[in-house]
Amino acid sequence: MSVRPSLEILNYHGVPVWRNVIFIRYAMQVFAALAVASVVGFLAVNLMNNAEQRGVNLSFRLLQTNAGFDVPYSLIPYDSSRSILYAFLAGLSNTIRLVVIGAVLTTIVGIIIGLARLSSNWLISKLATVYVEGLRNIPLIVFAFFLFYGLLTTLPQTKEAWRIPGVGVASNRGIYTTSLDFSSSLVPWLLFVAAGLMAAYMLRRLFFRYEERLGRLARPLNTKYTLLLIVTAMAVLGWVVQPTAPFSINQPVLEGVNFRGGMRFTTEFFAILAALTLYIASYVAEIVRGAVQSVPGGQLEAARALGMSYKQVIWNIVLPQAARIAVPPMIGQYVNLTKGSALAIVVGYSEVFVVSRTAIEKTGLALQIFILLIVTYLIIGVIYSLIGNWYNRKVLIVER
Amino acid sequence: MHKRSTTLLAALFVLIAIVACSNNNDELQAEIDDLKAQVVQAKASASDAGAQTEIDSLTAQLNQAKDDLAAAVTSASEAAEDATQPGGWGSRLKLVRDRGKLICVGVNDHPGFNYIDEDGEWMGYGIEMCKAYATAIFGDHEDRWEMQVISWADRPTTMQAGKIDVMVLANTQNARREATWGNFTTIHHYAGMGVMSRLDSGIVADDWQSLDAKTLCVSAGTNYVPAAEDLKGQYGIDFEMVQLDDPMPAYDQGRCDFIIAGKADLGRDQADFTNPDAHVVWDSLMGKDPWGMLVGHGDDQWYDLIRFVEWVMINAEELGVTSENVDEMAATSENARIRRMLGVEGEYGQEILGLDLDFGHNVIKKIGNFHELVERFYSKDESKRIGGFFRPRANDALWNQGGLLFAPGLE
Repeated sequence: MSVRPSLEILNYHGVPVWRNVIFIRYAMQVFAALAVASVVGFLAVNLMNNAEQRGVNLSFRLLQTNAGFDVPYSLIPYDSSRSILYAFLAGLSNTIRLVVIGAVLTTIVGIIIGLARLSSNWLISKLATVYVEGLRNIPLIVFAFFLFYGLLTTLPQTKEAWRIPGVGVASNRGIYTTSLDFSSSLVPWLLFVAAGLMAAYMLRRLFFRYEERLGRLARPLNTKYTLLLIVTAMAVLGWVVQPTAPFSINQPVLEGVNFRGGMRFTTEFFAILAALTLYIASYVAEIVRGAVQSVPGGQLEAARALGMSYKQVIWNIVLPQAARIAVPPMIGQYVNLTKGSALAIVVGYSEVFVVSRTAIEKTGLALQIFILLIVTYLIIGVIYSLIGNWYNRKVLIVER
Repeated sequence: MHKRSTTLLAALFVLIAIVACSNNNDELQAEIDDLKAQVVQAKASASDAGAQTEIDSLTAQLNQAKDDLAAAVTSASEAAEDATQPGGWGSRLKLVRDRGKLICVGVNDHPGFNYIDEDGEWMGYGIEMCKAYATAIFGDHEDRWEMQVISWADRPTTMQAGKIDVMVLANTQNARREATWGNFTTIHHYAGMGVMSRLDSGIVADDWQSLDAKTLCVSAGTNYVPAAEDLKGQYGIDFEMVQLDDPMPAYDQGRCDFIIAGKADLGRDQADFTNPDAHVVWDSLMGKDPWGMLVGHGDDQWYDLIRFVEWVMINAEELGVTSENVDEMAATSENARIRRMLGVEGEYGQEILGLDLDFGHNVIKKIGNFHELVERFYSKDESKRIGGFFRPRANDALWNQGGLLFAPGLE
């Protein structure tokens, strides 16, 4: 619509105001806004009246009081002397950890399963179909319950934990994997590695120029092995010239009844992460499959006919077009993942909803804390849709 | 599109009409002002008899309008009073009577207190109390009560929503809950928070320091969570906490080294574990755990009514009135306290609470006195129990038998 509103339009061609399209359009907007405002206003007044009658406190001030309960494994420094509001943020940090790790894993697993469904290998494609159909038809909460009570807490006790030497251990206290301990010499070492990469990149450009002048390939001088050698050399140099190693390997060791060291995924975190990842991935797989299949086969044949390699076809023809179709529904799945994270309550992972329930028990401020929760999830949702919109604009087909 | 906008318009007109109606008084006032102006004008130009009749008719109209306004103001203030009534005295009883049913709230997996037996029937101390309240209000509990199930962590929200009549859960009373949840009625169980630990965990029973660096399973959203946190500060220890709706299965499978719950319940839970001998219940208590039922804030009549039922049951135990001898007692007893309790003579406030004079007789006949009720679920003698498990009366014994249970006299 390119009609610009102005006051003259109200008398346009002698059409009465109430039949004037422009006027009606604006009037509807005003009316709609009024209607929404009155409904919201009615609900708010109703809420305040009822709260007053029951003597329910509506002030948010008590959220500043001492929390007095623990938020285990908070990403931000937390202890029980902090405020309720801060405990809420600590819970939110746990949610964010779950969602970020979950989103990455979901994407990876989803893409693998989605491509597997398209595989020409009969067994692989059927297995992927079973996975997708199986998981999509189980309620997420049932799946999470099953993983936690049926699978993870029935793992052996720490003393009889399953061990895979060098990789990690699995017990009903959690999954511990070997991790890296970084020392203060990590940053200088990384600088060495970066310098090596830079040198390799420059060298490669020099080689290209040299080849252009030469008019033929300058092998064996210009191969990726030469470049790899340079980077490795710099990395080794950076390691040996420094007094301490930049990182060391940290293995989980049994101390008393618990393991110490290594990277730990608690049973609760692992249960909810696995449940969300595997479940959402079954939806992502279908999105990926649909997106790949939506690229017209003729284009692939044309690309092949033009002499593009299989890799070039995938990277330059299929993926850019598939991504454009896949990303908006993928954003929807990330939103699902975030909302699903509240199911951590059934397995006891201390994310924001679990913390909120403890906070309600501790303060009795049910209404305020639920409002806080709703607003928080709303903000996260808006962030997702902003990212989605930004991506959509970015990949919009440019029409000339 | 066109249809949608028409609907929207219609809805808006309704809204505007509502808003317009609410400003009715302003219109009346405007009318009065207008009439006043007319009267003044007529008086000013009054020179003949014709004008006088005009003034008379205008004055009559003015008075009529004034009456209308007064009536409108009265009805508006009455409406405003009605609006504050639902939270006030007597509203809950009226609601329950109109509904014909008492709605109680509980969990469905607390042995001895709120649970569903093999036949799918509601059982437990809390359920019997729900029936007792229903009996007091309706004279009988058949089809007069209903249980709604929530989880432990939903209690604050449920209480603040104010939809339920009475919460018949094992609610631990503390100051903050009293202020923010509702009113706790008579405390019927003076328990302590207990600890149970696994023998193979390296925890020494009754040694708080040995909990350091261990793992605790605890019921999410209960007062045990902050209580456990207090332990950390008190003894300078630190332990991992896993909060679950039902922590028992996870503890049984070895996810945690110890759990915290009502001490009486711990012994009961231990018997259900895969290997009961692998656990020990501590003698030490980690805090007070007094249990009471809960009613919402704001209706004192309802609060008193519920407590009256409990007082009658406790007094009946004290006076030796049971479900078996209650009819006989009512007919033959010479004890004035018994006669008053059973509604044979005198009155001690039943009327203002909206109860029948003989509600005590009904409750004792249908449910029994406090002792009978407790025996039904916590008796040492298994043949007397219809469910539950053995729990010594200990502190829950009557005040004159060395316990803490005390109810005011019914006089």
